[in-house]
Amino acid sequence: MIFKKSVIEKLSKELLLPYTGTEQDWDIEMADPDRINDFLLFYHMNDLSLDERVTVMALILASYEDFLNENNLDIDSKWNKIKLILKSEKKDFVELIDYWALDNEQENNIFKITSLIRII
Amino acid sequence: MRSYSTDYMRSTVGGAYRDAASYGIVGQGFVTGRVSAFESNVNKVVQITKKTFGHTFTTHGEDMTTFLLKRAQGSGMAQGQFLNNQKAARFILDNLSKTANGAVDIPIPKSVPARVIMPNGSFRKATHLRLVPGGNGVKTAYPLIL
Repeated sequence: MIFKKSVIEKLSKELLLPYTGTEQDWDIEMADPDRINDFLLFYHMNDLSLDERVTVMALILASYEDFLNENNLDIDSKWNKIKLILKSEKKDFVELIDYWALDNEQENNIFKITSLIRII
Repeated sequence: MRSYSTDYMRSTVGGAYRDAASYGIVGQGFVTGRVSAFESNVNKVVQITKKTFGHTFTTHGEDMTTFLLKRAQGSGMAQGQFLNNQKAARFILDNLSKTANGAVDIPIPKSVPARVIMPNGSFRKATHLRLVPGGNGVKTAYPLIL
């Protein structure tokens, strides 16, 4: 995924993320499994541009991946909230969905959320 | 002398000797005891999985030049690229213990080829490797300039 530096800097400030300016994989590095509901609230409560919405959703997906891994889960109720956004605004998240779906990857080498993303 | 050394090594290091022999690195260094059991694995192929390496090679791998050029230009931020996935994977595994307290930046040795793609499309030599721990390995890792 390609996130604009200006968007990352703005979101990092508003979400109080520990961004230093050297992160290349912002969504993966700033992911926080304990703040998924916080990020979802931020998504819904702010008038975000398309770039901002996609960037926040990337952060939410990376955080959910961490959440599933840390708790050894395949899914939980938070996924319904995430899925609702992804489905209703699917055209905006095509690149993000494609990235996590790993279409050309074998079943034994995928991310935790890959199987959830594939059925969006 | 060689026969003595071989018998001696068989009796003392067993499996490690067999590994070294099977990978063709049993030589003077091994006879003198300077090659460790770990080094006997130096030529083994590292399985590059999402579970161990996360997004590292999906994003920063040797085949990602086109994507990283676009990402550097589109984001306005420099992007690191490994130029040999196997050498990078081995180096990452060797340094995983350094991530016990979180992400770390480690100087990249010459043996791990890597570069950084600048937003203007130029290439520069990477100086460090960032390891971001996750699960049993890294969530991501990439070359950078510090």
